[in-house]
Amino acid sequence: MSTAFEPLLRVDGLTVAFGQEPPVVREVSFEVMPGETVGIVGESGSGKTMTALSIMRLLPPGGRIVRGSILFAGTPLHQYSEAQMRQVRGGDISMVFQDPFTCLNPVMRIGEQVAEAARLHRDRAEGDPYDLALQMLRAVHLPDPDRIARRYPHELSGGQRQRVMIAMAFICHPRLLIADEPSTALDVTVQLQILHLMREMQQQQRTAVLLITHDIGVVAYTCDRVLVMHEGQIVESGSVYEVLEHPRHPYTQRLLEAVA
Amino acid sequence: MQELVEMREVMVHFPLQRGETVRAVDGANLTLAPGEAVGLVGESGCGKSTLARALLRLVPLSAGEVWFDGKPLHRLPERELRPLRRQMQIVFQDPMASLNPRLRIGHILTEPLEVHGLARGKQAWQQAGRLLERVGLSPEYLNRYPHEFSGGQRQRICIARAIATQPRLLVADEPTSALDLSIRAQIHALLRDLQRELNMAILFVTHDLHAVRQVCSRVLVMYLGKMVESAPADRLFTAPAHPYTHALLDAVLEPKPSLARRPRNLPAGDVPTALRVPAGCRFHTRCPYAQERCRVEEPELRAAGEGHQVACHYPLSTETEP
Repeated sequence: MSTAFEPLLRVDGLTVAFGQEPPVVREVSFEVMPGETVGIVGESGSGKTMTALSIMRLLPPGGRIVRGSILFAGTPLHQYSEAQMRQVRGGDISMVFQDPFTCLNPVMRIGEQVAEAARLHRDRAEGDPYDLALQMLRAVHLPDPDRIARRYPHELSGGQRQRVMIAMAFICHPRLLIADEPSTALDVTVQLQILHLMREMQQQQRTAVLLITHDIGVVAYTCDRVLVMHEGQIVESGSVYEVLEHPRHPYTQRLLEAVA
Repeated sequence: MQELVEMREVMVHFPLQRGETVRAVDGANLTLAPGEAVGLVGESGCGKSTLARALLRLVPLSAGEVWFDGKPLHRLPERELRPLRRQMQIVFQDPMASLNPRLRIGHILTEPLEVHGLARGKQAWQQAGRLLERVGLSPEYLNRYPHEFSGGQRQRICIARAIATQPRLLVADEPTSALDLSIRAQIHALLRDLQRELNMAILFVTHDLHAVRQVCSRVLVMYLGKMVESAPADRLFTAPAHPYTHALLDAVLEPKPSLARRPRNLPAGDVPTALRVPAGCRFHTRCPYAQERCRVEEPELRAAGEGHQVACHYPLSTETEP
């Protein structure tokens, strides 16, 4: 078991490649402490999403971890079998993606989908899965959860669907949430509601968050620390106050100038 | 001076089965002066793209009028519309989907010249080379194919094609939303340069307020199919009068934590669907300042200062610093 002073996640020298191509992630090392929010920011192709998918061992076909280790609470995820990883996903570590619509089953009612997340990890989610699902739908502030539970994904708005994804992500009390552009597809006035909700759930459950985004404003708003990725490498890291208020690396400076 | 574009009380409704109707554009007005760069902003589903397409008659109007250079586009037959098409061009969000992957860039750029009888053969090819140079690309690229370019370069090619016929109006529909930040700023600078040099009006449709600031001198804000505010860009960003405009500006996250973490007064809930537009003021269901009158009476656009109009019963104070 890790303590509060040991990192929950320790990624060391992670290198990811597709086939014989040059690596898309090169020697990436970082840590996430329990309850901490760490942002990975970069432009498209910077390797930020591949880093996140490596941790979940969900790299697209052809992609593989060439070198490096991923330790989660001391256990080596990079050596886990697919069966072991299935226990981790949605349990100790859960994910929220950019597009909630493609992540939800279009022909399954919302309540059933959220309950299924609990059913897959009975050891972590005690009680009747459907009741738990209703509780979670209430916890993410969806109006009239009983009615929402009987609806299909297409009957909800984008913001409501993302709330459902967050309910699913938190139903088994994960220790780490990996959120890949969780608010990017949403309208600006809804984006902040979702970021607030993630923070609220995270604080209630003391979850650590690894937030992947291209949006520096989202990092400035939510993260404790930030890693700036460029061409597969971390070019700068530190507290958000250090890195975003006083960037040192020329690439970080350029990124910030583009939004100033 | 005569307006280049005037859209009056335009409606674009899409009937669905079960007798329901999507009121995508629901009584919108818009004017563009010759050579003016105007931003049309709003969140997804507000009708901004549909309105822009209605202007070019790419979607049919359900009601209202569209005037272009004094001609009534809304009642011109397609035959009479065609010669006007070279005067009004459009650039879309996804440059890859807008470029035929099997055609060389030279072909893509000479096509509008030949279609409109402006140039042909070797002369058209040379002109295409000059167009590439004009958008910051090498004329040597004429023999290449779209897949050989980056997203930003492809959008430059789309812009080159759009300006080939020397249009008086360019509609740019989220032209930089799919591009990385550092590339966006370059494309915005290009659009602004072209607008000035060619004296071409631009209708810049976007959800990105930062982009509007880089390109436009005037901004229109749309919510659920209607304009809620129209103002010079400087004024809109410093003294928004409509609570929705204020919310849009307030929701922008600054890149520095010391600024980003300030308290905000944001609207509640999601944007209602265009299938069930609220009665009274369309924004009243989310507005932090809504009162009884807002629930029953729809506010009209009215003056709120020099060149500034707002559709709100209780506009925010627009007093600028003395």
